[in-house]
Amino acid sequence: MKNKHTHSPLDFEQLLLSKSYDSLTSEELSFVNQEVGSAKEYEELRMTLISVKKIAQEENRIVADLAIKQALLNQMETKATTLSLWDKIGGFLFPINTKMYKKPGFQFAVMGVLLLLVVNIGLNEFGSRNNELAVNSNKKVKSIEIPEQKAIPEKEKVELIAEPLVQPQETVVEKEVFVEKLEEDVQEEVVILADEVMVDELKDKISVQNVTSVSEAQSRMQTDFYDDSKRSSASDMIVTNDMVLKSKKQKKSIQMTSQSLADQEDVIDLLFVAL
Amino acid sequence: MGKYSSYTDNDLMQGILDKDTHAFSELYDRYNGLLVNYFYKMLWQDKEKAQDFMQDLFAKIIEKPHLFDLKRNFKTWVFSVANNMCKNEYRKQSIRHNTSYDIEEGIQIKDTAMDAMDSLQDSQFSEKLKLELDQLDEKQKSAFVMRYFQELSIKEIAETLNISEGTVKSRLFYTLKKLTVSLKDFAPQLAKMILILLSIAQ
Repeated sequence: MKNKHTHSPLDFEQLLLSKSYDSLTSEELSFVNQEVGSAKEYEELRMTLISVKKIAQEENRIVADLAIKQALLNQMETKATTLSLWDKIGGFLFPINTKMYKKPGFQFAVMGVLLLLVVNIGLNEFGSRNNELAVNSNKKVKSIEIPEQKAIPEKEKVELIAEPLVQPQETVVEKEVFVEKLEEDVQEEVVILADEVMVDELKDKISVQNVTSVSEAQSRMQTDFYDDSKRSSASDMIVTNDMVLKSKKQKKSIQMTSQSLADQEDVIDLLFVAL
Repeated sequence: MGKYSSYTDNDLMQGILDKDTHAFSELYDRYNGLLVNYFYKMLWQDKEKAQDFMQDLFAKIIEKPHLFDLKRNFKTWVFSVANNMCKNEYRKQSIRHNTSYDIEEGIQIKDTAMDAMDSLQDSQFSEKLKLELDQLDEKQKSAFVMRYFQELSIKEIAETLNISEGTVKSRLFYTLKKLTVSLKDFAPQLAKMILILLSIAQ
C-alpha cells in the first residue's frame, strides 16, 4: 500500500479532475491501475470529486453576525485600556518577539548577577584578610594559656612548691613616717591573714599537723616527699601544687589591695600638703 | 484603516500584541468567514454553534495573543486551533452520546438521515454529502473539509494538522473513496450534468 503512494495522490486528484479514464496515457494508466481496480471505479471517483468541488464552490456560505464583531472589538478595547501597571512593566522589561539578550529585563538580571559576584568576591577578599588576623591572635592566646594549665612535669611542680610563697614586696618610695608605719602595719596584717588561710588549707589537703606558717608547711612537705614512707600520692602533690598556685594568686590580689591603700595614702599626703 | 489591508497576517498579530484594535478588526475580516464555515462544516452544520466557536477563537486571540509564534504561518495556526476546538467538541459529544437521553437523540438523527436519504435526488446531493461528512472519522473529515471547502493547500493542511504531506494526500484519497461508495447513487448524475455543462461552455 505504501508503494502505491510513491506517485502522489495530489497528482491522482489532478488526473481525476482533468482526465477521463479513456484519455489517460500509458504511464498515467499504470499509476491509476495501482490505485483503483477498474475503469468504472475511476469514473465513480471522478464524478464524486467533481460533484464535491462543485457543491463546495456553490454552497451558500454562512456569514457571522455583525454583533459578534462588535462584541469582540469592545473586548479588545477593554483589554487595551485596562492594561495594568505590571503588564506595562512586564511589557517593557520582557517585550515579546525580541531576542532574549535584547530584553531589558534579561539585561538587568545579568547586571545584577555580575554586581553580586563583584561584591561577593570583594567581601571574600576583605573577609579572608580579617580571618588571617583573627587566626593569628587566637594562636597567641592558646600558646600562652595551654602551657600554664597543662603538661607541667612533676619535677617542676616540686620546684614550684619549693619556691617561697611570699614574694618580695615592692619598694615603697620613702614618705612621711606616719604613712610608712601605716603601710607596714597593713602589709603585715595582710601577710599574716594570708598565711593563716594557707596553713588551714594545707592542713586540710596534705594532713600536715602542728604548722603555724606556710614556710613551715612547705619544708615539712619537702622532707616528707623525699621520705618514701611519708610520700603522699602523685595526685595529692598535684593538688598541693594547685593550692600553692592559688595562694600565689591570692597573695597577688592582697598586694593589689595594699597598692590601692598606698594610693589612698598618696591622696592623704596631698591633703596634708594642702593643709 | 486602509493601510492595514496591506499588512500580512503576522504584522496584524504583532499589532494585536501591541493592543491595536484596528489590526484586530482587519484580521477578523480576513478570517471570520473561513472559520465560521469551517466550524459549520465540522460541527454538524449548526450555525449557532459555529458562530459561538468562531467568537471563542477570536476571544482567545485577544486574551492570549502571545500564544501565537510570529515565526509561524497564522492561517495554519488558526486552523489548528479551530481543529483542536472541534476535537474537544467531538469528545464532549461522544460522552453525551453515552447517556440514554442522547442515545435517543442519536436515533432521532439517524431516522432523519434515513428520511433524507429516501427523498434524495440529484439536487439533494449536497445534503447527502453533509450527512456523509458527519459520519466520517474526525481526521479524515478535517483534512477533507480543509481541502475542498476551505481550499487550503496540501502543505497548509499538513502544517495545520501537524502531519506529513503524504499523510494528507493519503487521507484525502481514502476519504474520497469512502464518499464515492456512499454517494455513488447521486454523484454520477450530478457530475454528468456538470460535465455536460462544462463541455457546452467550452
